[in-house]
Amino acid sequence: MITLEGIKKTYENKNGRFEALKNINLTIEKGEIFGFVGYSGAGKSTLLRLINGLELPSKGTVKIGEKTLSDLNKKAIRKERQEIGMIFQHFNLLWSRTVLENVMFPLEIANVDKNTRLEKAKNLIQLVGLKDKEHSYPSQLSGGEKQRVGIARALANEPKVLLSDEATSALDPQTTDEVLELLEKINKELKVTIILITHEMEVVRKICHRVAVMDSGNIVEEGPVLDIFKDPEHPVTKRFVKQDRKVDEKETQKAMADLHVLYPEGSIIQILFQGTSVNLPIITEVSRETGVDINIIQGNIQSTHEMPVGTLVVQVLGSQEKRQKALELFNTYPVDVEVLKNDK
Amino acid sequence: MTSNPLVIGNILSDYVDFSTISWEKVWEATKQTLFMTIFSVIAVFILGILLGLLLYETQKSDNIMAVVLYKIVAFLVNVFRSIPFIILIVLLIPFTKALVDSITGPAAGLPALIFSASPFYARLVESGFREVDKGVIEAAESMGASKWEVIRKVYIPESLPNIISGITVTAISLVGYTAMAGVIGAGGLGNLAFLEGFQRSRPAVTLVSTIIILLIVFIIQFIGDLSVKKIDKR
Repeated sequence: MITLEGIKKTYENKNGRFEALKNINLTIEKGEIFGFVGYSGAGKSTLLRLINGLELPSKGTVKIGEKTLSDLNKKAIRKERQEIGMIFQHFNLLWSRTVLENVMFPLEIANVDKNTRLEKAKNLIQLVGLKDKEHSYPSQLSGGEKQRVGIARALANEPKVLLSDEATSALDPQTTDEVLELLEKINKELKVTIILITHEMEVVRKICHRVAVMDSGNIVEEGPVLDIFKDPEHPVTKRFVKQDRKVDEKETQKAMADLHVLYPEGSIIQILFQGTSVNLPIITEVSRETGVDINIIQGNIQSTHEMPVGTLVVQVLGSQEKRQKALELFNTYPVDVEVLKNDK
Repeated sequence: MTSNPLVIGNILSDYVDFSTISWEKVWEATKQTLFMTIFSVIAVFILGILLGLLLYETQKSDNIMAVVLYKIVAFLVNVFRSIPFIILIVLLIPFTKALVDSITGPAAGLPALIFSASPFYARLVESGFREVDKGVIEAAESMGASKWEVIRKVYIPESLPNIISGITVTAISLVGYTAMAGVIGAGGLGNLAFLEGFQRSRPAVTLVSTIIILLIVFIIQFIGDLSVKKIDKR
């Protein structure tokens, strides 16, 4: 439904040229939740703005359905934008308008008559769960509520596509989850294609179907979310996946240091498992078979929209030989094992 | 000279000798001041917003015509803002004569008042626009809003507290300017204070004029503050 072909975007100013996007080729299917993940400066924001024509590519074409954006004149692009909703990190609501008036704003721009505007806005406010806040001003709302208003506003013109620009980055973890659930619901119930950019792999893991990892103006890796999580190839992707798994790296390191003092001879390994392997009694079996003692340092399990993915950091105690055996045994299970520390 | 209680007493009694006041003239002068203030405020409000908009829109453009226009407008604005008001009145006399066919009376005060306050207010409006959250502008653009819609539905409502507090400040300085304009013949309370109060040695007239001007200023300030408080939902 959305096709990006040979996209290049360069900015020129007094300080020289800057290549924001180098060569982007990608197709986003109708009805999917597609995520772009990357560090700041990777070009995600620019890419998002090419899709609604706020920016035009220096080279290449952006196609939405059958229409090529760069072939359209300004007026037609504006018309096209009415069918693409957008939500923002800082919500970007008009402080001078109530919740209801904010949601009606895009409808005013689309010249919808007053009664329809009111009716639609009220329905949307109900959909995002803010019925009793219709007449509040944005300054009276919490961050999560503001983003709900942003979402209702973005949906007002019944868009085919919803663009999300770091929509959860300014929210706390719980609110983030609520907003993500709302987005998932919108995708399912209203069949809206969602394209989101984020620097949080967690967001991608929770709701995206496919993901593209971006680094300095290029897509370095792309595919179904589960595949990327299972088998990240590019170093940047690996870093993102790792970051998401290590909920609190510092704490783990501290725990490792402590255990290292307590049991100097142990090895510390990290086990990554997904899907059905979550349910296997791996630890017990390895311990029983090889006679090593296993100490659990840290563990967590995360859900992706397809299946769960988990991490377990354990300390394996026993002779060098036994530990080697244990490691081999671990590798026979459908899990990935990484030795973090191995003391002789 | 040592201060003489009797002299001081005489001075004070001069100030409160309200029998010297012709209340009819005071009322007439008050009406003239109000007329000059209200008309110039309305004109400055409209002109200032347009000019402010022009400054704002041309400044961020990279179109060469817009850049030139910005330079010219900015230059004129700075010039008119810098000319002392009393000189501007004199400078504009021929122009005023051509425009209102008279150089005395309240209407004759208007051109100078408008010329001097509009650029000042335009700058305030411009800086108000500049404070509007860029994210909100982007949001409106992403919805397909045209430039005019962005101005009407985002810039103006979102900078309204600035626009209102700006016109309040401008209106107050306009009241001061009307008094100056009065001195050179535009009528009003300034004129009254000067002609009746000073030249005819009736300090009470000057005092009353001053009090009325202060009242007008206070009322403007009160209305301005109240409106800003009411519309500012940030």
